[in-house]
Amino acid sequence: MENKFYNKSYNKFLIFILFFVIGLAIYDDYGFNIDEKFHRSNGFYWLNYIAEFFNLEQLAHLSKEKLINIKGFTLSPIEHFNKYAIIFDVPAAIIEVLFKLELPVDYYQMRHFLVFFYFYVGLIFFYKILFNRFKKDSLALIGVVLLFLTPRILGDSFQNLKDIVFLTFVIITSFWYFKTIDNFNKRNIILFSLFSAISISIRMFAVFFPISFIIFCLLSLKNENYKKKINHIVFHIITCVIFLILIWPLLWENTLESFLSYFEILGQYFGAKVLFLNNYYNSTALPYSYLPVWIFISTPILHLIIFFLGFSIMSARFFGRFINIKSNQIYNDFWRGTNEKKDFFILFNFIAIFLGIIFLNIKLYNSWRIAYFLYFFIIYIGIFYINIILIKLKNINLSYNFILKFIFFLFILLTAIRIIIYHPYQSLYFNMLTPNKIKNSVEVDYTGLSAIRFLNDIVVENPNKSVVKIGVASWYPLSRMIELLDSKDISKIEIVSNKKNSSSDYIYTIGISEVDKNLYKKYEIPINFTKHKELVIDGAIIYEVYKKK
Amino acid sequence: MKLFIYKIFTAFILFFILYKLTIGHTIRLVEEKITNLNSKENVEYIKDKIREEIKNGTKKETLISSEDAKLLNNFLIKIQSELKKLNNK
Repeated sequence: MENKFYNKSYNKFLIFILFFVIGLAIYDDYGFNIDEKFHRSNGFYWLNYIAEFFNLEQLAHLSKEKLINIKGFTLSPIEHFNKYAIIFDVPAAIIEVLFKLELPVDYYQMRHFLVFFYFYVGLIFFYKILFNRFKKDSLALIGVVLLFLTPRILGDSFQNLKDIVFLTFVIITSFWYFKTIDNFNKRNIILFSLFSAISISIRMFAVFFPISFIIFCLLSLKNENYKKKINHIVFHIITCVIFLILIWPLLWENTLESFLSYFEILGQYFGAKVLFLNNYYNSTALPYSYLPVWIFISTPILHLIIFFLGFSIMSARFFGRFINIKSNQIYNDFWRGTNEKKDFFILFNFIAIFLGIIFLNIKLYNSWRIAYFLYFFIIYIGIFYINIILIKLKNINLSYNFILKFIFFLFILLTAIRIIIYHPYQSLYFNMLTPNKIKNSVEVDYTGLSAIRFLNDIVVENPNKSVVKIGVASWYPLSRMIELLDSKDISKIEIVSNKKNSSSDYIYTIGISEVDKNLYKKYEIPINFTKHKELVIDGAIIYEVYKKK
Repeated sequence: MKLFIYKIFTAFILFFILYKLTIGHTIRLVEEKITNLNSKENVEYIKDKIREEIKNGTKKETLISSEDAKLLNNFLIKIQSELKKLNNK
């Protein structure tokens, strides 16, 4: 498709424009995430703090007013849980003030678009990182398409204000790490430190960046360069700490004490039980199989195949290097050239983080969204495999070459079709290999994305009722979603407490429980209720509604 | 020296994984069971169970066998007499 009017290099622009248009067209289709209200309050809390810090009186007053109006008896007190990063929440709060967004639907949908924008920037950097490594435009684009067509990432990129932002910054930080490999100078180290600091402020997981930077510097130490390397390690640590303090207002006062308080709070987050394969576990004592099973059931088959093949080849290569290490050799022990070093960086961090999460009792809940940034490594390793295949394809006959490419695009098409089937619940995606029994033995709609749809249906179903009483048989604050209804419908809905469920007109359940439902019948549906309707997608029950007989 | 460090590091990692898969795993299971024993849902479960047993018991014509009834009767008389003795002192 190359002529004087069209150049292959336009492909990337076309694909990126297409993705942006898709994002723009569908961002308002998505439901609302349970965490959004808290993050809005976090944004205004820190905006107020920054405004007061710099004596910006008008902004301080405005943000204070907004903060006071964010209420909810189930909302975590922001003064205590004020440890989150500001990289998303404060810009979102500023946009809300600038554009004078007063309606809840407006300011939450603005945030949905903003998360997508962050993800979009992540996609651009993902393209850049793959192009940096593989030097092939088409391969980098395939990687971008695969990341965009990762259903759980795509779905979350319209409402998950934490994990998608973190994924984006993991990609950007890795890109700057690759730049330091290409050119080990102070400019690249400063930028790497800056983005490492931003990533750390979002999730402490990102300390793997400075740690692996130090390990990789030590692994490439030689007699003639050790002074320079040690200087750069010290320089990176110092700049990283400085940037961390600068971009995290929590650390502006009593820096060390505030930093330690972050870890105290970590233990207080999510003390509930997690449903996994029909059993309830404490989030700190999940079975070792939790993360591998979740990755296996919620990742498209194409992604899994290319990842496993790429991982096997990459691991075999580095294992071969490892067992052939000699006390004196010209080459580095683990890699030959910068490209292999980049691959080793990806493989090393993927294995370290994966095993760390499994064996160090890292808290996981809400499926595996906290570890969604692993998709960056998974797709990178998959692209590594495709690169090898493309090199091999050059030497085989054309028909075989065509068949392989056809199968690949068939899988891409299949994934795209399944994404459409799940729309707008791609965040709750399960692949084709997962039986329905498994889908319904784990947490599905853990952030209550379906709640607004349910409430709107109830309003439509009861046009003449002045008040509809709704009970919730799940660990979910449905009351947070009422403000998102049309103003004329808000007074129509009354949420009753769990103990009074039997007196309600309808009971809504998404199957999420903070206690072991097999032992404690807290969320049992009263006997005077029958199933009224349910939302099932691809065999997974998203929610059920019960109505009084 | 370099090879020695690599060997030590590899041995440590392998030992850690092996430990976690064997002893660590067992400790984790025991910990989980202990935590569950005094968990809210377990307490609720026991409460429900007691309620259920009482309900079932009240439905029966006789709660205890005649032999047990005799034994309990003797036991209560014995306690009563000892309490009386104590009060008379």
